[in-house]
Amino acid sequence: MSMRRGTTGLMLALGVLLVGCGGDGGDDMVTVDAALVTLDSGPSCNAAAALPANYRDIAMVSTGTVVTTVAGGVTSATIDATAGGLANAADNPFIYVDLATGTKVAIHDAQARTQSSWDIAFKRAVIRVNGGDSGPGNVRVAIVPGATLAAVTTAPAENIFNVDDWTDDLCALLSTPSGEPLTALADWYDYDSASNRLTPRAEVYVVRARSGTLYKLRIMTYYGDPASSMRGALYKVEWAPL
Amino acid sequence: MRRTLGAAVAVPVAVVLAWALPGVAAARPVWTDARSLASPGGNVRVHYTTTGVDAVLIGDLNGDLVPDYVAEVAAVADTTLGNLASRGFRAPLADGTLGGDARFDIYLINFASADGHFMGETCSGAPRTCSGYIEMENDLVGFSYPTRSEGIQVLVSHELFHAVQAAYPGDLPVAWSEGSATWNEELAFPAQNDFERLIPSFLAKTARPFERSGAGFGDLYPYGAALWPHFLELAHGAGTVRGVFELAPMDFLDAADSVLRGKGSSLGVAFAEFTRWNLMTGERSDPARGWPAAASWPSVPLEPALAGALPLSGEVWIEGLSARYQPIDVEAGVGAQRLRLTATPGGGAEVALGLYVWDGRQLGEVVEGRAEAGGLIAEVTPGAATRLFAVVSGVTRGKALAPIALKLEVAPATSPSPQPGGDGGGCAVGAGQGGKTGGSSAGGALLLLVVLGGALLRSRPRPTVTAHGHRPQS
Repeated sequence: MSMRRGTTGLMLALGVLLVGCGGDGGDDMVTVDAALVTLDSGPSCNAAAALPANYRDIAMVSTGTVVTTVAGGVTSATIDATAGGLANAADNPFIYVDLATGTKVAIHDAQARTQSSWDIAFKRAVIRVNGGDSGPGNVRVAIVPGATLAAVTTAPAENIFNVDDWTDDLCALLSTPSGEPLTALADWYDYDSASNRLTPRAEVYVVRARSGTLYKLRIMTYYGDPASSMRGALYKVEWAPL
Repeated sequence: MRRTLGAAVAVPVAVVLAWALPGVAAARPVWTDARSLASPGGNVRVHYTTTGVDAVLIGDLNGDLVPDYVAEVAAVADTTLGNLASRGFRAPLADGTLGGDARFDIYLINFASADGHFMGETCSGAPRTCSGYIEMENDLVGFSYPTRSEGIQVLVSHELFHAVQAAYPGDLPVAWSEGSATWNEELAFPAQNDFERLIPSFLAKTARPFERSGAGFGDLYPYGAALWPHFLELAHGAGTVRGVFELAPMDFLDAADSVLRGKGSSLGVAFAEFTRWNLMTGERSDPARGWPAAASWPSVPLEPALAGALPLSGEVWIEGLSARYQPIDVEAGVGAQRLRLTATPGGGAEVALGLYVWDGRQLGEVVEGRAEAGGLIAEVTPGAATRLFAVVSGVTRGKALAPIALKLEVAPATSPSPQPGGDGGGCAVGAGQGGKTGGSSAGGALLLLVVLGGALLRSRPRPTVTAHGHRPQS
């Protein structure tokens, strides 16, 4: 499925009314009239089957946790996407998150493909959102330069929002150079081969959640374990309604 | 390629490439104090130096002016190549005069993070074959092998098998390249225990589809996949693995299917049988029917037991060639009745069902699920036993993850009574078990039930995902 690359397939007209933003921030109401999403890989493509083996669907609910605090309208979360560690990640699932409640959604990967109960999911360095090849929630993401949430005050143009899209017209995998599925947030980090570390880019991600609410979201670090600065996939993330 | 390890690590921990290709690797080592030893058997030349960072252990107890470590590597290489030849495998491709003569070259160097690899150097054809050489540890100081001699045996037999693999055309998925190389360790030097140390990494992940066995960094599953060639030879006769290689560049599972059909079996039948052998590990080990020495192996992972009053219902999920092991605990006294287990696949799954009674000491004969309208059905009368094991085996590659509903109930009074090990009268797929040298728990034909139209089923072929290398990891 693709908006960026697709040229054929099913055209879906989505009429989405975003009904405002909750929280304490008194954020603006945002209305989006409609969006066109091109499904180039067709409705019969099982995108899960195209995933690399290390990211295939796992029929198990993540044992990871989502711990959040809310202050000034900003939700700060520590999300355990370690998936059993590198050696076991191929056999452990994504962890699914509801942005509105800031909670983990206790579903497994196969269930997530048909459920609209989640917005964003994490496993190791891969982040998915509940739209396109990832799920039915029509969640989409726009990437906005900016080092802080406060730097983003207006909704991006509609045409820069993307859904998850890691399959081509033949339902084959589209991947990053490192072999990860090419999700809408595939490029969230810079990789330093000398230190083997991932550094979040100075970007804010505007996520249109499945509810229609716009959130601005930032990844603070991939190494959120205060006891071990080398332990990856323990994300610290913050988000707030836009 | 062998694995990274440190002195404090009991089991090597990093999985890298099966073997490196031209352009990926640096050139052969060049030393100012370059020395070499031609092996007594004439097959190998071992290159080494006694100075600098790559200096080998210089101990020379027999006073022949050749470090004993070097001499042992050469002797082990001769033994390995002789063993491979006796089993009918191709020899590594000759490299002309590279390394000084036509002998296969082994260079002893100081590894920083692994302990050996085969370097493909000169390749030809499409699909390609390659000649090359081995680089392996110069002293094994700081590595976790129980003895230096065992380390040499493991490394040389493993890496030489990669050189043999390169004599067959095509590239191999990591589970086959590393699994068969680890299996060769066991065939060449049965007394070493590297094979035994690695197979738990496979047995712990039996739900992983074997055809999608790419692994994460540090995941030793591909090495533990040595169990598959081990099974092929034990259950279907010596030479089965070589037969698979002779069909290269055919995909190793297609080739296995072809070879197995020539023996009256098939990939699906054999894989289901393989998964049932894997139930017979640990306390359920049964050398008469499965692995000859699996009592010390860890159990496969068991699903949370279904327990309580009948009827009992549960669900397991299956993807591709994989298995789930479902214990079922019935209440005392219930076993006097005939019990029926029904497995109903969803989402296009193709599975086999094997049902066992466990009396606390031994597994009963397998009862093969027979295909009926509602699913696969297997029936047993447990008697005094209160635990059953259901083995649900995915038997078709590329099938998407799908649920299999399980239900245990008292069998209807009119139900037939299939004999243990029989096919129960269902639709047989595949054929008999000809050519086996070992016992079989699978018994008769494999039954498949195909349920089409599931939500996860797609109409086009799934793309091939190769698993031959790893990104830098964080």
